[in-house]
Amino acid sequence: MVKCVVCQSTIEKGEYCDAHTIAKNNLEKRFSDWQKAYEKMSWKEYLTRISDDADIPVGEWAKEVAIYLLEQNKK
Amino acid sequence: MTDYLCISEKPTAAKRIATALDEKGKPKKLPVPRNFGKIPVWESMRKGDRIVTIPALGHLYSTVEDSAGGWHYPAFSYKWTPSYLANEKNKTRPFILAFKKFGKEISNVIIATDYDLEGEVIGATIAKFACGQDLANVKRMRFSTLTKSDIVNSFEHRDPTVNINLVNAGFARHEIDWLFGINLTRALTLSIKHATGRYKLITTGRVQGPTLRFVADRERDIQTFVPIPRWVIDAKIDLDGDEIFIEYNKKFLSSLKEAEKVVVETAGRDGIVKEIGSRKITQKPPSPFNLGTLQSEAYRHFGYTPSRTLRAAETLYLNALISYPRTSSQQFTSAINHRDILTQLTKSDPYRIRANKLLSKSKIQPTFGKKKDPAHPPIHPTGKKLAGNLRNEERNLYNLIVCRYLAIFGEPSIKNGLRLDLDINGHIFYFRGMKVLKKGWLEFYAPFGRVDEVELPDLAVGDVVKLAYINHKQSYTQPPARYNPNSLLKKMEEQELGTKATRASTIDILYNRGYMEDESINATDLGFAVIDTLEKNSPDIISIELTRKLQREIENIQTGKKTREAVLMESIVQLKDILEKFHKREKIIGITLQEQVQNLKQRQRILGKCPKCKQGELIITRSIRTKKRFVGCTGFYKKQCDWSAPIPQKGYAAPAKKNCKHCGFPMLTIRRKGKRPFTICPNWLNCPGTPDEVIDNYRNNKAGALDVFVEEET
Ligand SMILES: [Zn+2]
Ligand SMILES: [Zn+2]
Ligand SMILES: [Zn+2]
Repeated sequence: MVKCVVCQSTIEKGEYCDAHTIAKNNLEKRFSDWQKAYEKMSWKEYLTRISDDADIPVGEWAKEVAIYLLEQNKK
Repeated sequence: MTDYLCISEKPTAAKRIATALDEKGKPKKLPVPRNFGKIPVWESMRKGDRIVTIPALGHLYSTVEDSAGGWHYPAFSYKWTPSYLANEKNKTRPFILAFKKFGKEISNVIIATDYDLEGEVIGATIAKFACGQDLANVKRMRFSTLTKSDIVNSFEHRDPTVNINLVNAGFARHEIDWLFGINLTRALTLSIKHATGRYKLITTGRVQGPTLRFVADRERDIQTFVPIPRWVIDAKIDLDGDEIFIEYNKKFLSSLKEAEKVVVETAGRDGIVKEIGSRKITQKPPSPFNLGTLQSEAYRHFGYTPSRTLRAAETLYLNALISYPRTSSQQFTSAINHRDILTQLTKSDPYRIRANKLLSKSKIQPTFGKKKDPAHPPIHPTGKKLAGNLRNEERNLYNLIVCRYLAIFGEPSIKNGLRLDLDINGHIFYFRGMKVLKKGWLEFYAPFGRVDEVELPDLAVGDVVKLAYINHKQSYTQPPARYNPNSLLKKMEEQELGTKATRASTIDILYNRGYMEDESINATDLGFAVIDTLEKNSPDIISIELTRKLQREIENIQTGKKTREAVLMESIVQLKDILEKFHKREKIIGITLQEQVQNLKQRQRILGKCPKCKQGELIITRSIRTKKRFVGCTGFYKKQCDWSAPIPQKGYAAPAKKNCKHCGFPMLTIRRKGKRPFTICPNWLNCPGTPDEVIDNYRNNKAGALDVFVEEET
């Protein structure tokens, strides 16, 4: 048994729980759309926008993953 | 002279039946022993015969476990018992006493409950258990309205026996629901108990689980949603000083560059009217109401939830104003005389003109939809005049039902959809209009079928207009919408979950049990935890297919294709399989369920370790008394730490997941619509980072003192 890196819930294996896995996949999948929309955008800029801009209708779990990934980035 | 005992479903219906059957329209209220309470027993005289009518109060009997007891599973043996014995709060004992007393005296028993699965079970249990009748000898009155003529007719042409298939299907549904409900609820609850020693009742049922799953799945889609940016073009033209919105021919642009290009290339330029087109749209009149479409329209026009609509419709039915509402039929049979009903409606002011107009037609032909229901016709008015004793929502609903009924005899409506195309430097913009050419059925459905007509501006091809304003606006793709009670009911219908009679109450139960909340339905943490855990460990419990299959089996009993015993045996085999699989994974289910219930709730609230006691955690919580939000230490519950502080009340507060650089307290983030999120220190009263002004304002009780603080933190 291990814990989800984002929410600490018990999972059988892996890094993320189911909910946060879906959220992380969605974040990755949508990145290219954002790059196209703004012509250029880095992964870090993307995550920052997603986690900071209250106008963006992003789901809470996706936001939690974005915040986690940003923190990992800093280390 | 013959004596008859007539079993009715409710006191109001009993009075109507007794009055209709009594030749003078004045049935006698028979005296009953004191311990029967105020239960009305009616005696009607008809052609020398005596008819005693007694009401039930819905179900008087229910299924209970038939064993020495103990809270365990599997529990496969059950028996039918008076509901007042099964549940102390149930007050139906006098009703059973009345049926027993008169059941002894009178041997000709007639069931006159609502003609459907529930009604059949209510009647059959009373005839069998209270009156001691063999169901093969029990007669059945069938009616779709409580009008005098329908009741008399159904008495004179009563069925020689009850519909035994319907009875068996009704019994089987109760029994299967009981089996699934009790076993799954016990399994879930005991899994937590066995794994963690804690007791938390987790209830579920055959239809509840899969219904909650829709809500939880939607919640997951929303919470994991990542939008795509897009842009819209905002533009207005100037027409003699009036600014009028026009739409760009592409609703959304997928890149900022593309949006900028449109603005740059059109700003300050004139537009030329390039084309004016029109398109005829013919719309057929709607189908007659069944319960589902009535609930849906009542939600749309009045905002009534499906269960509220059903309750109001039931009152209208009991007042003999409309036909039986629990129907899925959208097709009238020739048995209903529309000319009669319309003639009755001409006696009511609001409907006179429209009803007369329909009566003047040579042929009165209603529309029909796809759904059939052999038991009852579509919901329609009886023609009886509205009495003064109705509540507002009942009146509204009645009006909707009558207008719909009038509309189904109308002609198709014809509308003209207009579009003016404007060319601005090669970019095409639209202006849309709408004109009704022929009202048709819309006239009869008024005020419900209103169309907003929009005139096109007085322009011709080649005219030049001035662009008054143009800019692009950032927007995003949107997460899927949450269910509301109405769309959830529709989803259940579409997926064949539950029946028309039970769907609305299943939704109510999920609210009452705390699995979902709000009008725009959220799965609660508890609801989400249950579905999430079951999806992983025991997917059959919330499987839509299984529920639907059981539903079909019940229908098979109703049509005589299968016996009640065979279907029950099959269900038990299936349930046994589910329970065995569940039991193998009981431990992990129990642990994750408990953890999820705890964790989901907490992780939205825990800021971090409490710096004061270094044991508890600081959480965002609410005062039970003042309902105000504040930050406190969990040590408070153990009487170890009393640290707490007020925080701003507006906006969504969540852990910031970082510590204050001035005092080291874990911080929180406040999000408000349309504003940047702010991070504040919960220790602001003692934190060196807090501006003096905020403290002064707070000490002077200045309203919004903390809001100022939030604003200034940026
Ligand atoms: Zn997680
Ligand atoms: Zn503390
Ligand atoms: Zn601080």
